[in-house]
Amino acid sequence: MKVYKYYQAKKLQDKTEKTVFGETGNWDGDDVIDLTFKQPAARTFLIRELIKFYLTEEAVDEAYIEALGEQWADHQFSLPYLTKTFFESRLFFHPAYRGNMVKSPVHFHIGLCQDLRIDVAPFQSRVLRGMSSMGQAFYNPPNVRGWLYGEYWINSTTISARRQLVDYLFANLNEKRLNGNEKRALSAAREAGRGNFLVTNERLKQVLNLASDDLAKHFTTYFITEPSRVNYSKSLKKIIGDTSSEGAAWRVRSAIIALLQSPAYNLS
Amino acid sequence: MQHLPLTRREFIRGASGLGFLAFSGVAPAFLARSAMAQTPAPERDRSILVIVQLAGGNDGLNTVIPFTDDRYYNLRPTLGLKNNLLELNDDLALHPACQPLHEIYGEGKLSIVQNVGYPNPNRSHFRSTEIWETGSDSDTFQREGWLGRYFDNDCAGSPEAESVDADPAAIHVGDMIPQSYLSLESHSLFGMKPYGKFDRGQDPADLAYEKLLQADHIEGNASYLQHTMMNTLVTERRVEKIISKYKPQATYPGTKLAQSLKRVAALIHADMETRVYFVSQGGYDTHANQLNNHQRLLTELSTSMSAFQKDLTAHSKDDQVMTMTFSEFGRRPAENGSGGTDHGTAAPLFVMGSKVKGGLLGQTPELVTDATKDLKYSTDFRGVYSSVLDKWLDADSSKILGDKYEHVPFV
Repeated sequence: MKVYKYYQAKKLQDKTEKTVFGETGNWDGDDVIDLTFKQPAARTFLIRELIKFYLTEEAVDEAYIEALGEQWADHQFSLPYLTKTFFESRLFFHPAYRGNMVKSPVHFHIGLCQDLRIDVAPFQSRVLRGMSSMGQAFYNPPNVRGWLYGEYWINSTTISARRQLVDYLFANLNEKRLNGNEKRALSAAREAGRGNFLVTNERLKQVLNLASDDLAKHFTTYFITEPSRVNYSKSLKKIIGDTSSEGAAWRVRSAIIALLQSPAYNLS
Repeated sequence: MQHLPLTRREFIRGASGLGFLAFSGVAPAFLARSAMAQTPAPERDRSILVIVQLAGGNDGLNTVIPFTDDRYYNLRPTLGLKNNLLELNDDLALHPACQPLHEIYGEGKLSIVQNVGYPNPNRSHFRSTEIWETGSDSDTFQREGWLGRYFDNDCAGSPEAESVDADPAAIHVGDMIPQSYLSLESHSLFGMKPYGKFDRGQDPADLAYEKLLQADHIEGNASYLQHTMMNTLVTERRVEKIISKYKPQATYPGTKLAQSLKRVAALIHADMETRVYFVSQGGYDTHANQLNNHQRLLTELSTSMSAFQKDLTAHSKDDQVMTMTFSEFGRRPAENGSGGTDHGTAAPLFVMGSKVKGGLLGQTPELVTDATKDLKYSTDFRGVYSSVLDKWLDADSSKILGDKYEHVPFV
């Protein structure tokens, strides 16, 4: 593992004594980190952030946070220890935290690609513009505090952008209309073994051997979380109709697109 | 004049009947249900606020120019403007690119509030924008915006705000919700693009989406999303129809700001109940080659605002609308070595409208001879906000801003 060190600009350094968190001395950067970790809040700060990022924005039992903080401190603030404990905990897998957290745009975009087993399209400006319309421009948070997360991802503009992304992933790639940069990016990606960027109708045809209610059940189990599965299955079954009749591949396509644009898929 | 029957309620109940049901070949049940649920009477005379953000930090001293002050020309040997100035009084003039705004000023419908800022100014774009948008002190961090708190105070609790087809409390043009709109309670906000269509027509996938939206959703974020998505769908359809049918009575330039304001005018003309609109013009961060860039920016600003005002007037909506600019900061009094100016502090802002009192307000900034010094604000921006809130939106500014600020008499 690479060890990072402070770079010391000696000429610029002010060597007088400084008071940090009530302790006075001639501190360097490493000392300040040590002083920070002596503060009681240092034990729980990261845990709260993990909970906010992965589980919920609502309050979680303080006793849990305090206890995990103690354990983490006992393990010399080891990050592998903290993440392993957190991700293996019963809290992390608790049903109360399923299907109620709004996915961030990054989660939504990357999640779509993972769920559909496709690669992120190699068209940089398209991807970046899409991210920004969904409200999360890479490396460009709206202010120093960062993004707000949760329900604040969602408004009419960002919903339209999320829906457009799903539409795009199910559209045909018109290679003739790509510009020179995009063509080069596409062939470079293909040479590197990445070629699946969009979901084709050929792929959708492969599932047509299932009946509509099995297909509805399959899609809801695969794409969305438990709380919405039953209600959505009913609607999806109607949308898909008879899988052996004409136009079934198109109806399946519509059903998946709608499912991926639905409230349930936007939650994790 | 016969206006298009496009208030929400007229739209639903009026002569042209179940308007939006007609343009979706299939009327989903939730649309039909909400169409039945309407009763209250429309209000046509609400005051409306349109915010124009000048993002990047507009150079105040080259917007309102102290042309009799030698110190101005000493601080700005290459950027100091001398010719074709549009005089406001014996000492001050508007930038030559502001001819259309100067005319509105002449008609007494433009107030220029001078030297607006706040104590302990911050020079970061992010942070200073946040201070302006939240109305907070420079050393306190607030999440909710000043308009969001206005919605919390004045727009919460009404049953129509909860209904699926309620007009949005606020509309913005652009991809991101302005922080000014962030609130504690959830209010219906709508964002649109300055150009292009956004109604998605009759794709089978769209119809499938409508069907899924009608499934029962659990409490919490799922039902919040469902609600917001339904609102968006209904509003998108209405807005699309309003915009595509709108006949502006003024010539709007093709610029992004002008096109944004044209859309705002269309929605105001259609008697939407929305009372706050937010549009943005970027590019004011003129660190280099400012002469040409600033000329272009102020041309875009003043031609857009002037077209908007003309259009509103022709449609007899001008009495209802106040348009106000803001920018996160002004720029330094002294020019830099790249033909530009760096991040500064206080700057003037414009308030336009037929009900605006007009004229130059506040104190002219005191220029200094020391090139390292900044302007010191004389009008707190929250005084401007409190005037808008108390005198224009009939709100209680002290509840919203957390303090009382001296009014600026533009309204």
